[in-house]
Amino acid sequence: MSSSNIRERRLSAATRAVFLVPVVILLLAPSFVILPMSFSESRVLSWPPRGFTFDWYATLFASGQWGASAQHSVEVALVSTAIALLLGVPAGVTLGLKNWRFRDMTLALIVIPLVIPTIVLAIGMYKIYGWLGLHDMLGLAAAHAMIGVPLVVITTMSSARQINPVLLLAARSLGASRAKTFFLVTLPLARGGIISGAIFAFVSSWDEVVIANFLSSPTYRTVPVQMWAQITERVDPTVAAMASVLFAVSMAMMVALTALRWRQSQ
Amino acid sequence: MNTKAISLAKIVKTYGSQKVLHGVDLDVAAGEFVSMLGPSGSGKTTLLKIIAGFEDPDSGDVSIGDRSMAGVPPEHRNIGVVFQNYSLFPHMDVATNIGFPLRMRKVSRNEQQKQVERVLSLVALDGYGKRMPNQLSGGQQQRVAIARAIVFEPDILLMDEPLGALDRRLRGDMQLEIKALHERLGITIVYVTHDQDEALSMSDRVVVFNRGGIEQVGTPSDVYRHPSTLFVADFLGDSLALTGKAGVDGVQIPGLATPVPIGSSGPHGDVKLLWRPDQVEVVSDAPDAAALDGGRLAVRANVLTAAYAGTALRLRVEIPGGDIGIVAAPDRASISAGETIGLMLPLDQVTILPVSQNTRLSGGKS
Repeated sequence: MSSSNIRERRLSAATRAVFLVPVVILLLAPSFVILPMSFSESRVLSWPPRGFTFDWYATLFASGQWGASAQHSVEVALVSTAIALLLGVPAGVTLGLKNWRFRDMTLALIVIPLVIPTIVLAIGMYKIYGWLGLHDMLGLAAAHAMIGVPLVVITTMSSARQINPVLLLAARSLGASRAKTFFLVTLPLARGGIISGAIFAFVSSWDEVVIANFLSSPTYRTVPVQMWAQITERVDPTVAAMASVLFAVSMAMMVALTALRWRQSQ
Repeated sequence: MNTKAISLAKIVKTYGSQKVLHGVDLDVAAGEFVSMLGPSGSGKTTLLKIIAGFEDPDSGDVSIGDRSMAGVPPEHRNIGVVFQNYSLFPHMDVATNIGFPLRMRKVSRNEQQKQVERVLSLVALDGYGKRMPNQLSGGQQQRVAIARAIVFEPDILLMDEPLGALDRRLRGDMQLEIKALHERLGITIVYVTHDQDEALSMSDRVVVFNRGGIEQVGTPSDVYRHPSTLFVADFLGDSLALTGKAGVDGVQIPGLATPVPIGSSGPHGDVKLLWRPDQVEVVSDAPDAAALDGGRLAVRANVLTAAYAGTALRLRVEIPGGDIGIVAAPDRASISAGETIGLMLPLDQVTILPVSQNTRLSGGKS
C-alpha cells in the first residue's frame, strides 16, 4: 500500500471522528449526567454535583412508594412481554416463512402502533380501556403489549426468514406433525429473534411513560410515572438515583442482547 | 412385476396458470430403484413432492402400498425423504438428528440409541453421533441425511437430487454407496436427478420427464439404446443422427441414390437415424459420397471439434447433408478439428425416430 493511501485513510478516520464524537456526546451525555447528580450532596437536583453520598439511594430503597412502583414496573413489563410473545411469535414466524398476497399489508398493519404518536395511542386507550374497565396492571400490560407485539413480530420475522424451509418439510416427512415441527424445529431456529424481541418488548414497557401516565392511578404507578410525579412536585436527587437504576437495568438488557447477537454470529 | 409400492394415476398439478404436470401415470414396484430424469422444470421434483405429501395434486391419485394417500399428511406416509440441500436440523447433533423420526414414533430411548448406531455404521460414520451438522463435510452431511431417512424403516425412500451439491468424485462414491444400500435394505427408491449418467448407472428403471409429462419409461439400456423420442435420445447422451425420409422402400438419405432398406415397419415421413458413439466406427479414409458397404452405411464427415475425454476422443462432426452429431474415436487416434474422416454406421443397430415431437413410438430396429 502506498503512503498516500495510508494518509488518506488516516484523514478519513480523523474526519469520521470529527463527526462521530459530537454525535456520541449528544446522545450519551444526557444519560450520564444523571449518574453523578445521584451521588451529589446537594438537596436539589443541580449541576455540578457537590460531594459524594449514597443517601439518595438509601432513601430510594427505603421508600415504600419507590419499591411499590418498581414492583409495578416489573409486573407490567413481564406480563406485557408475555402477551407480546404469545401474539407476536406466531405472527412473526408466519410472516417470515410464508408468502401470500396480503403479506406486506399484514405486516404494515401490525407495525402501526409503532408509528402512531404515543400520545395519540394513550388518549385513545384512556377512553376505550375506561369503558372496558381495563386499568392498572391489566390495562398497562395490554397497552404495552400493543407496542411489544410489533417489536417481537419484526425480530422473530427476521430470524424466521433465515430458516431453510426444507427443514420444515424434512421434519414432516420424518413423522412430525405441524405442531411438533413448530415447537421442535421452527421455534428453536427462530430463538435469537424471539429473545431479542422479548428484550425489546420488556425494555420498551419498562421505559414507557406516556401511556403509563394515562392508564395508571395514584395507587398503581410504574417507575417512570412515579418519577414524573415526583419531578413535578419537588426536585430532589432521589429521582436521579431512580433514573440511574432504570438506566442501569436498560443498559444491562441491551448488553445482554448484544452479547447474544455476538454469540450467535460466531 | 411384484407388489406395487407406489401407484400414480393421472396426476395433474398447476401452479397459477402454469401446468407443471399433466396427467402422469406411473407404477413403482416394491424394492425397485426408479430414477426420474429430466431437465429442470420438467415436473420431476413436483411429482416427488406430491408423492411425499408436501404438495397436493389438483387431480389424480397417489397410492402407497394399496392405500390411497388423498388427505394423508406427510408425517403419516412413512416415506423417507433425502433433499438436495443439507436438511439436517442445525440445532441438533448427528445422533439427535437421526433419532428424530424415532422420537416422533415414541421409540424407547434405548432402542433409539441402538438404531442410531446401526444406521451410522451403515453409512460409515460410526462415532460421529456427537458432532454438530456444521462440523461435517457436505458428503458426510448427506450421509447423515440418508441415515435419518432410513432409520425408521420407511416403505419408500425419495431422493431429490441428493448428490447435486457434491463434487464429481464424491458423487461417484456416493452413487455406489446408495446403490449398495438399496441392495442391502431392499427398500423402494425413487431418485430424482437431471444427471443422465447417474440415472443410467443406478436405476432398475428410468422415467424420462419432459414438459410435465413422462416421455419414456424403461430400463437404463432401453432408454439409452432404444429411445422412443428424439428428446429422450438427446437427453440421455451423445449421438449421431442423420436426417432421412422413411417410406415403404426404406429410408431415403440425402446424398444416397437408393433408399436404405431399413425401417419399413417403423415410422414413415421425416425421421432421424440414430447411432450412439460406441456403435460408430471412425475410419481415416473418407468415402467420396455416402455409400452402402456390407450392412454398413459409410459417410464422410468434417470434424468440427475434437476433445480428449480420457478414454476416447469425443468428436463433434458434420455430415455433408448438414447433420451435426457426436462420435467417439480411440484416444490414440490423432484426429484434429478440420480433418475429414469416414464414419461406418451399422444398419442393424440403428434407431429410427420420427422427427415430429408429439409422436411417441418405440425405437424401431430393422
